[in-house]
Amino acid sequence: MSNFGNFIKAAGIGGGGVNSLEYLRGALCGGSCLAVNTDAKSIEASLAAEKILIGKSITRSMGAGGDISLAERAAQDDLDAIRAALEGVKLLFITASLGGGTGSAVAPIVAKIARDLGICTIAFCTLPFSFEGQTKTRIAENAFKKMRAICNAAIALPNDEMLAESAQANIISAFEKASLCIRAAAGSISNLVSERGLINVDFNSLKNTLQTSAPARAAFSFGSGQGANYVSKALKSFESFPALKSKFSAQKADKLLVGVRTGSDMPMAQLKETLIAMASKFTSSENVSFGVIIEPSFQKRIELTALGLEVSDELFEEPETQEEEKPKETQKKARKTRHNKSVEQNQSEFDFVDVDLKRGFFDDTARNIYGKEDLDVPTFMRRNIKIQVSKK
Amino acid sequence: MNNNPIVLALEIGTSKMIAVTGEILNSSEINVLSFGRENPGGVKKADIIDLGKAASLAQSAIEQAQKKIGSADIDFVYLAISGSQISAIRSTGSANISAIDGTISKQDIERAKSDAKSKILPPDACFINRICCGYYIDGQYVKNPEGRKGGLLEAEYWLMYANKDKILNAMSVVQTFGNLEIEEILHSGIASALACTSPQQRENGVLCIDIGCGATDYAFFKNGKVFQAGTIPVGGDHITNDLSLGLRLSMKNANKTKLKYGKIIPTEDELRGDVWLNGDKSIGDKVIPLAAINKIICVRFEELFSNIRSELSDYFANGNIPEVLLTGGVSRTQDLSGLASTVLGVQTRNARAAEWAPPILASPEYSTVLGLLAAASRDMKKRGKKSGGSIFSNIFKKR
Repeated sequence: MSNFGNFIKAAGIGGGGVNSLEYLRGALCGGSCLAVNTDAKSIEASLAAEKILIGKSITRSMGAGGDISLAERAAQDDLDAIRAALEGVKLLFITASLGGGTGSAVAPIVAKIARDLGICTIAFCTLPFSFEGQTKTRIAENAFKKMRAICNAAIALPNDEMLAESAQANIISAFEKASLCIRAAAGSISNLVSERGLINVDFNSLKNTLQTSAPARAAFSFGSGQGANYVSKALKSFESFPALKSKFSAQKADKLLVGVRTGSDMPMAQLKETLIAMASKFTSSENVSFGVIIEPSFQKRIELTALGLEVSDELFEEPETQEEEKPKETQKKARKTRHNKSVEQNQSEFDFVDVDLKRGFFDDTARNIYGKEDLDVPTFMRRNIKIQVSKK
Repeated sequence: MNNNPIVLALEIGTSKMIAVTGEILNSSEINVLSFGRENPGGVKKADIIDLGKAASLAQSAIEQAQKKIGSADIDFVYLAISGSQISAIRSTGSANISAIDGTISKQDIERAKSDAKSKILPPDACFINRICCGYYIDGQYVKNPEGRKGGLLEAEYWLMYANKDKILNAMSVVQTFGNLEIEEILHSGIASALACTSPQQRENGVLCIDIGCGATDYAFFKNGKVFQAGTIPVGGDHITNDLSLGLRLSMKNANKTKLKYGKIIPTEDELRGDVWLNGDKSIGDKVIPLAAINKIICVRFEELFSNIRSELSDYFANGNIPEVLLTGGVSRTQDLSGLASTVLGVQTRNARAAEWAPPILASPEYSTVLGLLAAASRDMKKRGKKSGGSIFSNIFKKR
């Protein structure tokens, strides 16, 4: 069991990925962390056991600054170092926050190396907030599609959804929440295959679960509970896990892995019920692997994780390349915008008369051009964000 | 009567005209003497659009402030400037070290400085603040290069300029009034930062964001110097206008709604609920979903902060900004600092008023005008009392 730990590795790629490694340290049953970035500062600050600063000569160790092609070149420069670091690994977790330069460009490259080495790879990708702009969103979505095509399972954790969930508590906790989910998921999967559990899933059955003939969408959910009614609390948060609302998440799974971590105080009957409830959220089929880990420190506390794959070939176009995509995308968007507008007017739910160029109070002043936008026009109009002003 | 210099600070703001007088004590401490405040008018988005109206209101504010200090004469006038007309460029000037042993002399520094300052502006523009951010000796940052050794000396400047006519308009408000003469024009963002931050904070690095009614001004200090300052022409009025257009309210009602229900993090119950515009259910009263108000406000603020972030992207990317402070009237929006922290990725707090600010001026909307006094005190310390003659007044006196 102990030497299996050497086969598990978590790679944090780009600024966000490297940061989330902080949460993974110690959760991987002896598995180690690998930080990959173009920014020397981030690499220096990281406590990961192995660190690779890529593209020193290309970015001068200052980060990619959101430039995809720069980050790509940086990774190509240090392919050998990355490959050497992944040698001998059986199970790899990749964490990256997509939308920036390094995470979006380098994560697919690392995943590809891992695939070539026959490593079972699970990726956790956070997606940018929609207000960070369409460019970032497009970069992130494109990168995620690449990851999904390469990795055994790629899980999207959209900041928008993570934030919506925690809006009433604290905005910053959206980031922490994503990191804690990654920790819990990577932790329980590592524990299960390291045979530390009460009911174990061996590595081959994990590999089996995560191997599909056709491209697949991942379904991932996490819930935790503590104190009185901890099981029902956990189930409730498991069922309403924010990332499930993402368009990238599957709602059903053809193959499913269900993991529970709890204390020794949990009655067996309740445990069985919980496992069944979790599985039935995603699937009714037989193809479910269960794992249970007893943590002595978990008194009246439980963590539920499920990871599944849904094979669906219809939505899988090959991720387009950047150059081809740019002009097309703008045209498409423009058309879409126009279309949406007419829908809005018909519905009367969104009662704007004319979305374009409304400046109201500022009509009598000079245009307020900043970048390419007139900042006097309300942001929600320029961004085409729907505001619901009357009852449905 | 003692002989301490008395400074009049004036802000021709979008939401108010405010004049404050203060005495600069020997110890460079500031003693606020009086203030005058007038209703807003003639100013939109921090630009003067109706000179006559703005001038008469501003002059009435100056009169109020002057009356309260009786016979005491005003020695200097400091004027804050903001608005979309302000632009800036970063400029680096260089000089080869003339001494054989590579010791940097005063002349070398002067050459590097004048090289940096000699940027050609568009014909209708004039400099307002030319700020030296520091020097580089062979690429290494130093605060004061004199006497050090090296091969190439570079001086880095942040040159702020604006439309000449607009600056002259703002100055004429003061200059047509009695015998007052403007000593200094200062960008509002820099002024606010001086009022809200300690020298220690400015040494360590601090970004101060002043969100006003018409525009948002920011200034980033590091090593005790201004590295970058600027204006994003978006303020509280934009939020009111967004609400007015989005919810179909009059500006007056939109403003009322903003002040009453505008917050960043509503509770879940509030998000599901509605609010009444007037609450008396009379004719014209209407129901507004709180979620709509919240969404309109949040997207505007998110955009504002991400614009600031991209203006300062180099410094944010390299982790050079350890601390962000919010000030200005709009910074009183509940939980705004949390949203700013998220978008900027740096811990953001609401700034506290300067210790020497009298309680009546301790509110964040007075940061700019108080900062002008702080700037006056700093300048006084630098060049000794009453010597006067800043670049700006010189430029305009010749005209």
